[in-house]
Amino acid sequence: MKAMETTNEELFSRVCNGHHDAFDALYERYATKLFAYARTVLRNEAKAVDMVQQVFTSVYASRATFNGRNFDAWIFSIARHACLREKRIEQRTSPLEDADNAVADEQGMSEVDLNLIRAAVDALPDDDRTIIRLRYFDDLSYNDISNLLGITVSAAKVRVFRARRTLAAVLRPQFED
Amino acid sequence: MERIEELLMDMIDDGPTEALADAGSLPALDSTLPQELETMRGQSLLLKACAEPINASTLAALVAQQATLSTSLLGSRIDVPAAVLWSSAVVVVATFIGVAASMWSAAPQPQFEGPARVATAPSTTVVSKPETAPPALRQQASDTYPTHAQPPALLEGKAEREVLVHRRDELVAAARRATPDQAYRLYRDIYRVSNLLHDVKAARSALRSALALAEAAGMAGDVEQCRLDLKNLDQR
Repeated sequence: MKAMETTNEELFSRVCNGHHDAFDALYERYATKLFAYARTVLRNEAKAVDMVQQVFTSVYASRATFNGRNFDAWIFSIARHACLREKRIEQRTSPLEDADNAVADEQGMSEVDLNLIRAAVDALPDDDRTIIRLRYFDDLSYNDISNLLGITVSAAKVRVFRARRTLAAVLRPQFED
Repeated sequence: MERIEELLMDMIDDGPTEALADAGSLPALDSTLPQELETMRGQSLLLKACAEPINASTLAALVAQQATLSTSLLGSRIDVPAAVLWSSAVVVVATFIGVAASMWSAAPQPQFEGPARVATAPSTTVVSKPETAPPALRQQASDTYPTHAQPPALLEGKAEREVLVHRRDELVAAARRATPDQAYRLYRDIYRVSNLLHDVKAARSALRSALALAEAAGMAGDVEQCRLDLKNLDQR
Protein backbone atom coordinates (compact mmCIF):
# COMPACT_ATOMS: atom_id res chain seq x y z
CA MET A 1 0.00 0.00 0.00
CA LYS A 2 1.34 3.38 -0.97
CA ALA A 3 2.31 5.60 1.92
CA MET A 4 0.32 8.79 2.25
CA GLU A 5 2.24 11.79 1.06
CA THR A 6 2.77 14.55 3.58
CA THR A 7 0.42 17.40 2.81
CA ASN A 8 1.69 20.84 1.93
CA GLU A 9 0.08 22.23 5.06
CA GLU A 10 1.89 19.68 7.25
CA LEU A 11 5.17 20.43 5.54
CA PHE A 12 4.73 24.16 6.03
CA SER A 13 3.94 23.64 9.69
CA ARG A 14 7.23 21.76 10.03
CA VAL A 15 9.04 24.52 8.13
CA CYS A 16 7.71 26.99 10.69
CA ASN A 17 9.31 24.82 13.37
CA GLY A 18 12.68 25.09 11.65
CA HIS A 19 12.79 21.76 9.79
CA HIS A 20 15.08 22.08 6.82
CA ASP A 21 13.97 18.81 5.26
CA ALA A 22 10.38 20.05 5.17
CA PHE A 23 11.54 23.27 3.56
CA ASP A 24 13.43 21.27 0.93
CA ALA A 25 10.37 19.15 0.18
CA LEU A 26 8.11 22.18 -0.09
CA TYR A 27 10.60 24.01 -2.27
CA GLU A 28 10.86 21.02 -4.57
CA ARG A 29 7.07 20.90 -4.92
CA TYR A 30 6.63 24.57 -5.76
CA ALA A 31 9.81 26.09 -7.15
CA THR A 32 9.34 25.09 -10.79
CA LYS A 33 5.64 26.01 -10.86
CA LEU A 34 6.33 29.38 -9.29
CA PHE A 35 9.20 29.89 -11.69
CA ALA A 36 7.00 29.05 -14.68
CA TYR A 37 4.34 31.49 -13.56
CA ALA A 38 6.85 34.26 -12.84
CA ARG A 39 8.53 33.70 -16.20
CA THR A 40 5.20 34.01 -17.95
CA VAL A 41 4.19 37.17 -16.14
CA LEU A 42 7.59 38.87 -16.03
CA ARG A 43 8.93 37.41 -19.29
CA ASN A 44 12.42 37.25 -17.92
CA GLU A 45 14.09 34.09 -16.59
CA ALA A 46 16.55 35.75 -14.21
CA LYS A 47 13.80 37.82 -12.65
CA ALA A 48 11.64 34.72 -12.40
CA VAL A 49 14.36 32.90 -10.44
CA ASP A 50 14.62 35.90 -8.09
CA MET A 51 10.85 35.93 -7.79
CA VAL A 52 10.84 32.33 -6.54
CA GLN A 53 13.22 33.41 -3.79
CA GLN A 54 11.06 36.42 -3.01
CA VAL A 55 7.93 34.31 -2.79
CA PHE A 56 9.49 31.80 -0.41
CA THR A 57 10.86 34.62 1.70
CA SER A 58 7.43 36.28 1.80
CA VAL A 59 5.74 33.01 2.62
CA TYR A 60 8.06 32.45 5.55
CA ALA A 61 7.86 36.06 6.71
CA SER A 62 4.06 36.01 6.70
CA ARG A 63 3.71 32.50 8.13
CA ALA A 64 1.71 33.86 11.05
CA THR A 65 -1.06 34.86 8.65
CA PHE A 66 -1.50 31.37 7.17
CA ASN A 67 -4.77 29.89 8.35
CA GLY A 68 -3.62 26.28 7.99
CA ARG A 69 -5.88 25.50 5.04
CA ASN A 70 -5.06 25.27 1.33
CA PHE A 71 -1.39 26.12 1.23
CA ASP A 72 -1.58 25.86 -2.57
CA ALA A 73 -3.94 28.79 -2.89
CA TRP A 74 -2.04 30.80 -0.30
CA ILE A 75 1.43 30.48 -1.82
CA PHE A 76 0.13 31.03 -5.33
CA SER A 77 -1.76 34.13 -4.26
CA ILE A 78 1.46 35.48 -2.71
CA ALA A 79 3.23 34.70 -5.98
CA ARG A 80 0.50 36.37 -8.02
CA HIS A 81 0.62 39.57 -6.01
CA ALA A 82 4.43 39.65 -6.00
CA CYS A 83 4.64 39.13 -9.76
CA LEU A 84 1.98 41.69 -10.56
CA ARG A 85 3.62 44.21 -8.25
CA GLU A 86 6.97 43.59 -9.93
CA LYS A 87 5.38 43.90 -13.34
CA ARG A 88 3.78 47.22 -12.46
CA ILE A 89 7.14 48.55 -11.27
CA GLU A 90 8.76 47.26 -14.44
CA GLN A 91 6.18 48.91 -16.67
CA ARG A 92 6.73 52.22 -14.92
CA THR A 93 10.50 52.05 -15.23
CA SER A 94 11.08 50.35 -18.59
CA PRO A 95 7.91 50.15 -20.65
CA LEU A 96 9.72 49.16 -23.82
CA GLU A 97 11.62 46.24 -22.37
CA ASP A 98 10.67 43.06 -24.11
CA ALA A 99 12.44 39.97 -22.93
CA ASP A 100 12.19 36.99 -25.17
CA ASN A 101 13.33 33.76 -23.64
CA ALA A 102 11.54 31.35 -25.86
CA VAL A 103 13.12 27.95 -25.88
CA ALA A 104 10.96 25.56 -27.79
CA ASP A 105 11.13 21.96 -28.62
CA GLU A 106 10.59 21.89 -32.34
CA GLN A 107 10.31 18.14 -32.83
CA GLY A 108 8.74 17.62 -36.18
CA MET A 109 7.34 21.12 -36.35
CA SER A 110 8.25 23.85 -38.72
CA GLU A 111 10.17 26.60 -36.96
CA VAL A 112 8.16 29.07 -39.02
CA ASP A 113 4.90 27.68 -37.63
CA LEU A 114 6.19 27.78 -34.07
CA ASN A 115 7.38 31.33 -34.46
CA LEU A 116 3.99 32.27 -35.86
CA ILE A 117 2.31 30.74 -32.83
CA ARG A 118 4.68 32.44 -30.39
CA ALA A 119 4.23 35.79 -32.05
CA ALA A 120 0.46 35.38 -32.08
CA VAL A 121 0.41 34.41 -28.39
CA ASP A 122 2.64 37.35 -27.51
CA ALA A 123 0.25 39.66 -29.34
CA LEU A 124 -2.78 38.47 -27.35
CA PRO A 125 -4.23 40.64 -24.58
CA ASP A 126 -2.40 40.15 -21.27
CA ASP A 127 -4.96 37.84 -19.66
CA ASP A 128 -5.24 35.60 -22.71
CA ARG A 129 -1.51 35.47 -23.21
CA THR A 130 -0.89 34.56 -19.58
CA ILE A 131 -3.34 31.71 -19.50
CA ILE A 132 -2.20 30.26 -22.81
CA ARG A 133 1.42 30.42 -21.74
CA LEU A 134 0.69 28.82 -18.37
CA ARG A 135 -1.28 26.02 -19.97
CA TYR A 136 0.88 25.21 -22.98
CA PHE A 137 4.27 26.88 -22.72
CA ASP A 138 4.68 26.13 -19.01
CA ASP A 139 2.62 22.92 -19.11
CA LEU A 140 0.76 23.66 -15.87
CA SER A 141 -2.40 21.80 -14.87
CA TYR A 142 -5.75 23.56 -14.69
CA ASN A 143 -5.61 23.08 -10.95
CA ASP A 144 -2.29 24.94 -10.67
CA ILE A 145 -3.51 27.63 -13.04
CA SER A 146 -6.67 28.11 -11.02
CA ASN A 147 -4.62 28.54 -7.84
CA LEU A 148 -2.14 30.86 -9.50
CA LEU A 149 -4.85 33.07 -10.95
CA GLY A 150 -7.19 32.80 -8.00
CA ILE A 151 -10.06 31.36 -10.03
CA THR A 152 -11.90 28.04 -10.14
CA VAL A 153 -10.75 25.15 -12.31
CA SER A 154 -13.87 25.56 -14.44
CA ALA A 155 -13.16 29.25 -14.92
CA ALA A 156 -9.59 28.39 -15.89
CA LYS A 157 -10.85 26.02 -18.59
CA VAL A 158 -13.32 28.59 -19.88
CA ARG A 159 -10.64 31.24 -20.03
CA VAL A 160 -8.26 28.92 -21.86
CA PHE A 161 -11.04 28.06 -24.29
CA ARG A 162 -11.82 31.71 -25.00
CA ALA A 163 -8.16 32.59 -25.36
CA ARG A 164 -7.75 29.66 -27.75
CA ARG A 165 -10.68 30.93 -29.84
CA THR A 166 -9.11 34.38 -30.01
CA LEU A 167 -5.80 32.82 -30.93
CA ALA A 168 -7.40 30.65 -33.60
CA ALA A 169 -9.02 33.73 -35.11
CA VAL A 170 -5.68 35.54 -35.15
CA LEU A 171 -3.94 32.57 -36.74
CA ARG A 172 -6.65 31.70 -39.25
CA PRO A 173 -5.21 33.77 -42.14
CA GLN A 174 -1.78 32.16 -41.70
CA PHE A 175 -3.09 28.61 -41.53
CA GLU A 176 -5.91 28.76 -44.05
CA ASP A 177 -3.81 27.16 -46.79
CA MET B 1 -22.76 28.67 -21.84
CA GLU B 2 -19.69 28.54 -19.61
CA ARG B 3 -20.38 24.90 -18.84
CA ILE B 4 -20.38 24.19 -22.57
CA GLU B 5 -17.16 26.10 -23.06
CA GLU B 6 -15.57 24.10 -20.26
CA LEU B 7 -16.74 20.88 -21.87
CA LEU B 8 -15.41 21.96 -25.24
CA MET B 9 -12.05 22.74 -23.70
CA ASP B 10 -11.94 19.24 -22.24
CA MET B 11 -12.72 17.87 -25.68
CA ILE B 12 -9.96 19.89 -27.29
CA ASP B 13 -7.52 18.77 -24.64
CA ASP B 14 -8.33 15.11 -24.43
CA GLY B 15 -11.53 14.19 -26.18
CA PRO B 16 -11.91 11.98 -29.22
CA THR B 17 -12.50 13.58 -32.59
CA GLU B 18 -16.03 12.14 -32.77
CA ALA B 19 -16.90 14.00 -29.60
CA LEU B 20 -15.71 17.17 -31.22
CA ALA B 21 -17.89 16.51 -34.23
CA ASP B 22 -20.86 15.90 -31.96
CA ALA B 23 -20.26 19.27 -30.38
CA GLY B 24 -21.79 20.76 -33.53
CA SER B 25 -25.16 19.43 -32.46
CA LEU B 26 -25.13 21.43 -29.23
CA PRO B 27 -27.94 23.96 -29.58
CA ALA B 28 -26.09 26.89 -28.05
CA LEU B 29 -23.27 26.78 -30.54
CA ASP B 30 -22.97 28.49 -33.86
CA SER B 31 -22.59 26.46 -37.02
CA THR B 32 -18.94 27.36 -37.62
CA LEU B 33 -17.84 26.05 -34.25
CA PRO B 34 -17.13 22.41 -35.20
CA GLN B 35 -14.68 23.53 -37.84
CA GLU B 36 -13.19 26.04 -35.43
CA LEU B 37 -12.78 23.31 -32.84
CA GLU B 38 -10.94 21.12 -35.34
CA THR B 39 -8.61 24.02 -36.08
CA MET B 40 -8.03 24.64 -32.39
CA ARG B 41 -7.36 20.99 -31.81
CA GLY B 42 -4.83 21.03 -34.64
CA GLN B 43 -3.16 24.05 -33.11
CA SER B 44 -2.87 22.28 -29.76
CA LEU B 45 0.08 20.30 -31.08
CA LEU B 46 1.81 23.48 -32.20
CA LEU B 47 1.14 25.15 -28.88
CA LYS B 48 2.52 22.18 -27.00
CA ALA B 49 5.59 22.24 -29.22
CA CYS B 50 6.16 25.80 -28.04
CA ALA B 51 6.61 24.51 -24.49
CA GLU B 52 9.45 26.17 -22.66
CA PRO B 53 10.89 23.58 -20.31
CA ILE B 54 13.06 24.97 -17.56
CA ASN B 55 16.59 24.76 -18.88
CA ALA B 56 19.33 23.07 -16.91
CA SER B 57 21.13 26.25 -15.88
CA THR B 58 17.92 27.78 -14.52
CA LEU B 59 17.21 24.53 -12.72
CA ALA B 60 20.69 24.68 -11.22
CA ALA B 61 20.07 28.26 -10.12
CA LEU B 62 16.79 27.24 -8.48
CA VAL B 63 18.45 24.32 -6.75
CA ALA B 64 21.30 26.50 -5.52
CA GLN B 65 18.78 29.02 -4.28
CA GLN B 66 17.10 26.30 -2.28
CA ALA B 67 20.11 25.76 -0.01
CA THR B 68 20.68 29.46 0.44
CA LEU B 69 17.04 30.15 1.22
CA SER B 70 16.78 27.26 3.62
CA THR B 71 19.76 28.52 5.58
CA SER B 72 18.81 32.18 5.48
CA LEU B 73 15.20 31.57 6.52
CA LEU B 74 15.58 28.73 8.97
CA GLY B 75 19.11 29.32 10.18
CA SER B 76 22.08 27.00 10.17
CA ARG B 77 21.49 23.45 9.15
CA ILE B 78 23.58 22.24 12.10
CA ASP B 79 20.86 20.92 14.31
CA VAL B 80 20.80 20.86 18.07
CA PRO B 81 21.86 17.24 18.62
CA ALA B 82 24.85 17.80 16.33
CA ALA B 83 25.77 20.95 18.22
CA VAL B 84 25.50 19.13 21.53
CA LEU B 85 27.66 16.30 20.24
CA TRP B 86 30.18 18.79 18.98
CA SER B 87 30.33 20.60 22.33
CA SER B 88 30.80 17.27 24.08
CA ALA B 89 33.63 16.41 21.75
CA VAL B 90 35.29 19.74 22.52
CA VAL B 91 35.06 19.06 26.25
CA VAL B 92 36.57 15.58 25.84
CA VAL B 93 39.43 16.88 23.72
CA ALA B 94 40.03 19.74 26.13
CA THR B 95 40.19 17.25 29.02
CA PHE B 96 42.87 15.25 27.28
CA ILE B 97 44.84 18.38 26.53
CA GLY B 98 44.54 19.46 30.13
CA VAL B 99 45.90 16.11 31.31
CA ALA B 100 48.76 16.22 28.83
CA ALA B 101 49.65 19.78 29.73
CA SER B 102 49.69 18.97 33.43
CA MET B 103 51.99 16.03 32.85
CA TRP B 104 54.39 18.13 30.79
CA SER B 105 54.57 20.93 33.23
CA ALA B 106 57.06 20.60 36.12
CA ALA B 107 55.57 23.51 37.97
CA PRO B 108 53.94 22.69 41.31
CA GLN B 109 50.36 22.68 40.18
CA PRO B 110 47.62 20.12 40.21
CA GLN B 111 48.20 17.20 37.83
CA PHE B 112 44.69 17.34 36.53
CA GLU B 113 42.42 20.20 35.82
CA GLY B 114 38.79 19.27 35.54
CA PRO B 115 37.11 19.40 32.19
CA ALA B 116 34.79 22.25 33.11
CA ARG B 117 37.67 24.54 34.01
CA VAL B 118 39.67 23.61 30.93
CA ALA B 119 36.75 23.95 28.60
CA THR B 120 35.60 27.29 29.88
CA ALA B 121 38.96 28.97 30.45
CA PRO B 122 40.02 31.67 28.00
CA SER B 123 41.77 30.05 25.10
CA THR B 124 45.15 31.69 25.69
CA THR B 125 45.30 30.51 29.29
CA VAL B 126 44.13 26.96 28.98
CA VAL B 127 47.65 25.70 28.51
CA SER B 128 50.91 27.37 27.70
CA LYS B 129 53.88 25.95 25.90
CA PRO B 130 55.75 23.77 28.42
CA GLU B 131 58.67 25.86 29.61
CA THR B 132 60.23 23.49 32.11
CA ALA B 133 59.77 20.16 30.48
CA PRO B 134 62.90 18.19 29.56
CA PRO B 135 64.38 19.32 26.23
CA ALA B 136 63.41 16.16 24.40
CA LEU B 137 59.82 16.40 25.54
CA ARG B 138 59.78 20.11 24.80
CA GLN B 139 61.07 19.38 21.33
CA GLN B 140 58.36 16.78 20.85
CA ALA B 141 55.73 19.21 22.00
CA SER B 142 57.19 21.86 19.80
CA ASP B 143 57.15 19.55 16.79
CA THR B 144 53.62 18.50 17.41
CA TYR B 145 52.21 21.87 18.35
CA PRO B 146 54.68 24.37 17.02
CA THR B 147 52.89 27.68 17.30
CA HIS B 148 49.70 27.19 19.25
CA ALA B 149 49.06 29.17 22.37
CA GLN B 150 45.75 27.29 22.55
CA PRO B 151 45.34 23.56 23.09
CA PRO B 152 46.42 22.27 19.71
CA ALA B 153 43.86 19.56 19.17
CA LEU B 154 41.12 21.92 20.21
CA LEU B 155 42.40 24.61 17.92
CA GLU B 156 42.93 22.20 15.08
CA GLY B 157 39.43 20.82 15.54
CA LYS B 158 37.89 24.25 15.52
CA ALA B 159 40.06 25.44 12.70
CA GLU B 160 39.32 22.37 10.63
CA ARG B 161 35.62 22.82 11.17
CA GLU B 162 35.81 26.49 10.27
CA VAL B 163 37.74 25.67 7.15
CA LEU B 164 35.18 23.05 6.18
CA VAL B 165 32.24 25.36 6.83
CA HIS B 166 33.95 28.10 4.85
CA ARG B 167 34.72 25.68 2.06
CA ARG B 168 31.12 24.56 1.98
CA ASP B 169 29.89 28.16 1.77
CA GLU B 170 32.23 28.71 -1.15
CA LEU B 171 30.94 25.60 -2.88
CA VAL B 172 27.31 26.66 -2.42
CA ALA B 173 28.10 30.07 -3.86
CA ALA B 174 29.96 28.49 -6.77
CA ALA B 175 27.10 26.09 -7.44
CA ARG B 176 24.76 29.04 -7.90
CA ARG B 177 26.84 30.33 -10.77
CA ALA B 178 27.90 27.02 -12.24
CA THR B 179 26.85 25.24 -15.37
CA PRO B 180 24.70 22.16 -14.70
CA ASP B 181 27.47 19.59 -14.89
CA GLN B 182 29.76 21.76 -12.79
CA ALA B 183 26.90 22.29 -10.34
CA TYR B 184 26.43 18.52 -10.10
CA ARG B 185 30.07 18.05 -9.08
CA LEU B 186 29.88 20.99 -6.70
CA TYR B 187 26.85 19.52 -4.96
CA ARG B 188 28.64 16.20 -4.68
CA ASP B 189 31.49 18.10 -3.03
CA ILE B 190 29.05 19.88 -0.72
CA TYR B 191 27.68 16.47 0.20
CA ARG B 192 31.19 15.20 1.05
CA VAL B 193 32.09 18.29 3.07
CA SER B 194 28.78 18.08 4.93
CA ASN B 195 29.56 14.46 5.68
CA LEU B 196 32.88 15.50 7.20
CA LEU B 197 31.00 18.02 9.29
CA HIS B 198 28.56 15.26 10.33
CA ASP B 199 25.79 17.49 8.99
CA VAL B 200 23.43 14.85 7.69
CA LYS B 201 20.67 17.27 6.75
CA ALA B 202 22.96 19.40 4.62
CA ALA B 203 24.48 16.29 3.09
CA ARG B 204 21.01 15.03 2.21
CA SER B 205 20.02 18.38 0.73
CA ALA B 206 23.17 18.53 -1.39
CA LEU B 207 22.57 14.99 -2.59
CA ARG B 208 19.01 15.83 -3.56
CA SER B 209 20.27 18.80 -5.54
CA ALA B 210 22.88 16.65 -7.26
CA LEU B 211 20.23 14.02 -7.96
CA ALA B 212 17.91 16.61 -9.54
CA LEU B 213 20.70 17.84 -11.78
CA ALA B 214 21.74 14.31 -12.73
CA GLU B 215 18.14 13.42 -13.55
CA ALA B 216 17.71 16.60 -15.61
CA ALA B 217 20.86 15.77 -17.56
CA GLY B 218 19.91 12.11 -17.94
CA MET B 219 23.11 10.91 -16.28
CA ALA B 220 21.90 7.46 -15.30
CA GLY B 221 25.06 6.38 -13.46
CA ASP B 222 25.15 9.55 -11.39
CA VAL B 223 21.44 9.28 -10.64
CA GLU B 224 22.02 5.76 -9.38
CA GLN B 225 24.98 6.87 -7.25
CA CYS B 226 23.02 9.75 -5.70
CA ARG B 227 20.10 7.48 -4.89
CA LEU B 228 22.43 4.96 -3.30
CA ASP B 229 24.12 7.66 -1.21
CA LEU B 230 20.73 9.06 -0.18
CA LYS B 231 19.64 5.61 0.89
CA ASN B 232 22.82 5.21 2.94
CA LEU B 233 22.26 8.60 4.54
CA ASP B 234 18.70 7.68 5.46
CA GLN B 235 19.94 4.55 7.19
CA ARG B 236 22.21 6.53 9.53
